Amino acid sequence: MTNLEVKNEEKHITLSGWFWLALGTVLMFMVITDAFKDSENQQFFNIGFVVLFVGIAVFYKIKAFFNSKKYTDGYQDEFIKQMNHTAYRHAFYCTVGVIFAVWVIGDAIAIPFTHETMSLVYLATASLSYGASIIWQNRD
Amino acid sequence: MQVKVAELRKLNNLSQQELADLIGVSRKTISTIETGRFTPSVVIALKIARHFEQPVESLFELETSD
Repeated sequence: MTNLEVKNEEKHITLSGWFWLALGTVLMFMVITDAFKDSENQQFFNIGFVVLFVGIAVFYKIKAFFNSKKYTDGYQDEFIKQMNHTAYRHAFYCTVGVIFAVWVIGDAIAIPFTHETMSLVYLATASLSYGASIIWQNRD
Repeated sequence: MQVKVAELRKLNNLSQQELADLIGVSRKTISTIETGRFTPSVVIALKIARHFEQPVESLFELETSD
């Protein structure tokens, strides 16, 4: 593994953390606006969030992928590989925790969310927890 | 575990990035080994020891609590 490949992996995992955090935030905002269905501005907000996400995705594509190989086989550097696995584990536990919480206290909260919105909640939880975990572990 | 990688690195006037480049790992790997947040594999421990021409035991020492 060359030094350039190691540096690319380091850059990639950092950007990956911010990307998933941003995606999770966008999804969570979409859930929040969905809670105010009567708002005239809901469609405006939803389109705004989709545009924001596309912007983030394009930025990520430019910054992370142009100078690096595809990471379909996973990371090679030992610490980065462990960081990625730990983040996946955190995302799994958080998502399962939210699903369990909704199952237990869902009726008590009684927010009239649709199934589509709830799927966004789970996606947002997984994205946020993965991104936050990467950024937290990436500290010096 | 007591890690003495940082001491040896500073004695040899190396930055974390320089040591990482010499061993072929990320700077983050060296940084987290030094702070004790990450326990490296035997391969990386041996590479660091070989670079400093020291036995591994002098770089990583077990404490009574380990």
